[in-house]
Amino acid sequence: MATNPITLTLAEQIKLVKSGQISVREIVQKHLTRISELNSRLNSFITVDEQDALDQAEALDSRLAAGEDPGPLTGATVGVKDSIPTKGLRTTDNSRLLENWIPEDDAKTVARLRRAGAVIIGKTNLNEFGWSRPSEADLSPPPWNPWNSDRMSVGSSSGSGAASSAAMASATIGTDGGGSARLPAGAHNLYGIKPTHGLVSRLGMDHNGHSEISPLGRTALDTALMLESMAGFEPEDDMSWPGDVPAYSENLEVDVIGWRIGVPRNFIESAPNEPEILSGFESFLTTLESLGAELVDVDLRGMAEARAANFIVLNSEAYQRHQKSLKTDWNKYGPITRVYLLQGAFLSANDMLNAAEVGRSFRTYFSRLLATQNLKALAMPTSPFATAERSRRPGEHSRGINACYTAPFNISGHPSISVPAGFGDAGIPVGAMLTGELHDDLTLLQLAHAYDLSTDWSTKSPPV
Amino acid sequence: MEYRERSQIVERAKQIAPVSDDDIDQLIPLLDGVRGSADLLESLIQPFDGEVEIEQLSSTVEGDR
Repeated sequence: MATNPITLTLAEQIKLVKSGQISVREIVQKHLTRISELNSRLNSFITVDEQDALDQAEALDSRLAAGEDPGPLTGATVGVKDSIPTKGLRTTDNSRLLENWIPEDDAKTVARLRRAGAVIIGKTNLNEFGWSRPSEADLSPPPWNPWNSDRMSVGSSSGSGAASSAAMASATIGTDGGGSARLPAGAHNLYGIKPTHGLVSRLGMDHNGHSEISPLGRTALDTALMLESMAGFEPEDDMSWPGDVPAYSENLEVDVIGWRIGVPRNFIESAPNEPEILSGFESFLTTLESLGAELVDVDLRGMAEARAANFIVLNSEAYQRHQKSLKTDWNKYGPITRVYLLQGAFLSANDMLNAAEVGRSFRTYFSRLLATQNLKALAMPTSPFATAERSRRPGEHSRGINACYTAPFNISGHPSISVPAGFGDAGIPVGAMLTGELHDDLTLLQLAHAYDLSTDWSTKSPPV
Repeated sequence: MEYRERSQIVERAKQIAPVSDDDIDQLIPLLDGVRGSADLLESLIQPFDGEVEIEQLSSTVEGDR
């Protein structure tokens, strides 16, 4: 075939494989070649086991040859954030503490992806333990953004964003505890959804109350296909949601005429947005209006307080998880990470419970706001900043200003999706974000799909 | 959050790990942010029979009302 299949979307790759026009092995080999061409420059992956990926592909091809259907993602390769355990495949969390850890089991989400027919192609780069700021002193140096490889990728799921946008995998998964999947989705021209709390189980990885495993795809359909294979009840997970998972990909085509979308202009105008962010956001709103959506100005309250609550919980949980290792292995941690991890040692149980109470109140308030104003979703930029370097400016980073739009919806648990919204002056993509009602992830995917079909962002490729 | 003075922070940090002066210099501005968040949240908590009323809270990124 003339077209390199890695330039196609995940959905198109699956169609080619299922129609017998190409083998899974060919798709995997093409992605491995792309990784070998780019990874030394971009640092998107920490670990790639080529033979293991080819073995997975051959097993799937054998099943196809025998007339079996190995699952809805057969023909797709998936890059997995290196904080998510993968059976037999080194999982480092980009830390010297786990430099040689080879998990005995997959995280439940990874097991679901494999059962759906996906090939796990490698482990993507991240900020050490998904926390702090990246540093050249990390086990694996920071990833660079394929849209401008002189610029760092936004994290913490930075390698997942870079790998997906540069077609080193059909799609990727990251984790989002304060924006760590939506922010890189925005900065890499991707569709990245942080699902409703509990929809995708975190079983098999570290316990974290508000961080959600999140798919990043080049189209809304790709992201929907990923999410429906990742989601589902895990009875051993006390946070897992027992409800049925809709067939997202089969229900994306809807008419959004008359759908009311809230726009909290006062809140947005209070953020230190860069000009490219605002122009991308206005273009996003114009497209929603052209699709027939009705934009409604809303007064949004409590975002700063909910963000504060989320970061108190994140700091407390991060320290709780690392309290023993910080004592015994202080010098194995990166010099920035260990200081970030220490913050939670200075918080009390009362601080944590205050944060939980404010988070609960914000969750109730936000759901009520959507219901009383009959809103399908709320629209905001994904980040106020157009580059990773700007988002990490001292003073603002420690107060979570880069996550001012994203983090409140981690502690509230509401689903939230970042969609492409143009490019900044540095050539780095910018994102817009839609947030909706709990357990109505489908509505967000439908809106994102309608937007995707009426724009050409997902047809663009980075210059690498 | 009880730790407000540098000496308190140094003492607590050294209970946990062999922190250097550089580590402490990095940690203190981070803790300023954490303390601000913790104090903000504590100020929102209502008497026993009350609930946090988000409608009465801030409308800006910096937390202004």
